Amino acid sequence: MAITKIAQVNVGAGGASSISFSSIPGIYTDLRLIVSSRISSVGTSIFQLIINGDNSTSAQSTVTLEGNGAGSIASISNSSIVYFANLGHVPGTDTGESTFNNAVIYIPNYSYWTNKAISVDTVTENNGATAYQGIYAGLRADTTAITSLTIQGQGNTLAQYSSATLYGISNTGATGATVS
Amino acid sequence: MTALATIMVFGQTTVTFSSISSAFRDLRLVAVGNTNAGVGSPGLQFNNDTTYGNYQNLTLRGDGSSATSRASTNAGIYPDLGGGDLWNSTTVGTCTWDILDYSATNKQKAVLSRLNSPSSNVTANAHRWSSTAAISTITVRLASGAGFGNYSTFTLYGIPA
Repeated sequence: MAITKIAQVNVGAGGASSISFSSIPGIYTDLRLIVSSRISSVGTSIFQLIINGDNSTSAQSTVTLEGNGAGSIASISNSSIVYFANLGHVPGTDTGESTFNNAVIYIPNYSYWTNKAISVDTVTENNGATAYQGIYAGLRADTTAITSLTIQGQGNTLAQYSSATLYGISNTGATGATVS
Repeated sequence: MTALATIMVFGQTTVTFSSISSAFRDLRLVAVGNTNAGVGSPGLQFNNDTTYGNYQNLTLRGDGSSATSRASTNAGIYPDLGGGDLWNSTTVGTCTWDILDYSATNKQKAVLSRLNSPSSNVTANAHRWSSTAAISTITVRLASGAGFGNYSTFTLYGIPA
């Protein structure tokens, strides 16, 4: 089977400032991180990703496309940013009971000697007129293998039942087609 | 999900997956790379069908300043960027295509894709190949005809029912 669950984190009753995966083994080809998150305060926060604990090197850039379900759609380009600071929205306590953001982060060739391209899709549930859906193209201009991933909500506490599951996807032992 | 075949290329202009097993329900093709010169958008052709008009594409695109939606007919599964291009020679990009019910012979083929170039565009796309033939060959190429950059990788996965 090409896909393997590496680890899962579930936020407990006390909440958490972030969700982190460290010491990620380099034995897979791609990583797939699936996140469900909510903050424990009022308001909507921003979904953020930090790679290898690096929040100071201006190696990141993004192109984003986001709609809010209320007639607004926008595309933004950011370059030389110190981490992926805007990859969607995380709902807070004023968006209704049990509403969470859902995000899928795909990082191909995460341990290769090349720069790292990242694909992100996020949606934010909201029992109201405004909710967010976005797609994001990211680049980390760093050839170092990725060994840790941190999810955070712009400094806000992640609420209980927020969770993240990291999968490794492997292309070794491929059989079933010929390629040239 | 099962890996069917994978390749790392050095400047070639096409990648072809052939003799694809029909034992799965859907296929996922993952590409990471860039061009070896200039710009180009990666796309697919099925079973060596290069007929213009046999492929329809619907693209939702953000280019960093505006959002657009376009539809087009083409000679392959390509995003329609209105003359723009996704991949370039300096920035690594990603492409994933989900090819649904690829071996069915009672329906035309639907494809969903996410194509990214972090320096220029982010897209979500829906495509149709107007053939009921089972897909046994997939050719990946750049719309511009340029070659793929060194170390570009392509992996085909089978997803069971």
